[in-house]
Amino acid sequence: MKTIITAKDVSYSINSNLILENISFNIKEGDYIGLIGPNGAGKTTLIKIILDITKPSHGSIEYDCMKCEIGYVPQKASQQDQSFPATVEEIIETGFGKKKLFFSKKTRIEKEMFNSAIKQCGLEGVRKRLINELSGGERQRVMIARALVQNPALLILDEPATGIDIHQQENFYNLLNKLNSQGIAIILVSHDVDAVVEEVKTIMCLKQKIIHQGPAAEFKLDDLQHLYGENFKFIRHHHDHV
Amino acid sequence: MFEILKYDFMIKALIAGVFLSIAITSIGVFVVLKRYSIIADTLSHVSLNGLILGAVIKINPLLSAVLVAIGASVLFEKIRSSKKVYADSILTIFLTAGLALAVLLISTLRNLNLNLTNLLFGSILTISTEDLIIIGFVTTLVIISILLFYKKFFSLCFDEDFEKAMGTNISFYNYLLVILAGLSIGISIQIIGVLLISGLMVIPVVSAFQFKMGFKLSYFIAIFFSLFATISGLVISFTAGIPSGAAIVLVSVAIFALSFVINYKK
Repeated sequence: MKTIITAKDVSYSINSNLILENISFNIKEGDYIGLIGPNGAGKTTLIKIILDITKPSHGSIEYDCMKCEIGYVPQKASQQDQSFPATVEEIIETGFGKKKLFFSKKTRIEKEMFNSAIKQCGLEGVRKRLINELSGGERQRVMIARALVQNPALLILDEPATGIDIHQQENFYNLLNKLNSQGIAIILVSHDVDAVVEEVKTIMCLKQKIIHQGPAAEFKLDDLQHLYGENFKFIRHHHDHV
Repeated sequence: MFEILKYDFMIKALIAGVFLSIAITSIGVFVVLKRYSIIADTLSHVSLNGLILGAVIKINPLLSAVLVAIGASVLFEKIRSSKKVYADSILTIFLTAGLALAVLLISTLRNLNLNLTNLLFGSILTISTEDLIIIGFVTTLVIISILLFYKKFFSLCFDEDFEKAMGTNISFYNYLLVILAGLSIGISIQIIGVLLISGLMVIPVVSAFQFKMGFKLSYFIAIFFSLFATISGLVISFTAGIPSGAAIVLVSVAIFALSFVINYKK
């Protein structure tokens, strides 16, 4: 599999406060990585560095894909202003990113990508509806479709399941699995350790440093206690796959 | 009704009204979505000092009002982006400071030739050819900006984090939006009046959003409502002899009430 992103000795500090220390990893095509860690572990900072919003204080990120090929679904994206007066199509169109004039139309390729993103996310029936008329799960799929219109090699989702009920989470994780099986690498940032361990292929535990990285199947309770502390209690809830 | 077109001042007021309706509502659509509705009140109160300044240093008051509004909008965005003070708190500080300074100047500089009622509530008698040129120029600038940056403004209103991740220069668009708001408000002071400008910036937009038609269509509906309110308000002002700002805003409120009732069960 082709390597998409290589992080080499990435460190980041603000006013001598070390947020990330010597982070190194590779992301390859088809990877499905769960990034977990306690609050303040540096997860969001690492995502910002991958997205090139923040520059590392030390080390580097090498891209073997175009930076525009990284799709991003921000934290709480599906909980954005719920009275916003825009249609599903209008929101998804913003994913094209390039400055578009008021009356400019989509190119043939853009149209294909646009329709494909809508179809993949199962939004054909609601594409003309207002975003505020949709359920939390449907809104989250709109956010993923917005990230997909640029045909990303890597999709980064920051706490994507927040505010979505258990049944809709199932559909949502099924969608991510489908996209991953098509070769799109995924980084899933979440506090829902149970769901992450169950869904992803690789777990990356972050607490300023990478303190564990390996197959999800080999992930143990000890690793969580190392990450969250000795008092950590793991309560499992079941996800019935469809 | 066409009798009003015999009067030169009325033709100027109508042309200016059409221009400023398009400008102020085009920006109002984004201002409302960014939850900055109070910005119109703030910048208009600050611009009052621009009008006074124009009278003191003997330059076109509309030009000085526009320049002061731009200065205030840039300063607002500078403080807001520092994230040290809430946006609505900054706007309230600017609003009260602007009004306090204007009251101080008006009470100190008693020999100024300013009609306070016209400034506060608008007048159709005060538009000069020079004003019309400034209003036309500013409106053209606003329309060009909307044509070029509409999709970025829209996306930024919906999800700033996503745009940051796309590498968009957020700061540029935020400054541009508040500067355009300052320009639109500056050119509207004479016809609408300091106290009533926010009505034209916010009410047609909120009325259009009641129809739940999606963003682009809502934008055009808002412009239509704004044009209708301004033109009919100016005609009512002329025929009934009431301040133009009051007539325009009351027509806007009637449109809102109707839009709200029609769409109540949607």
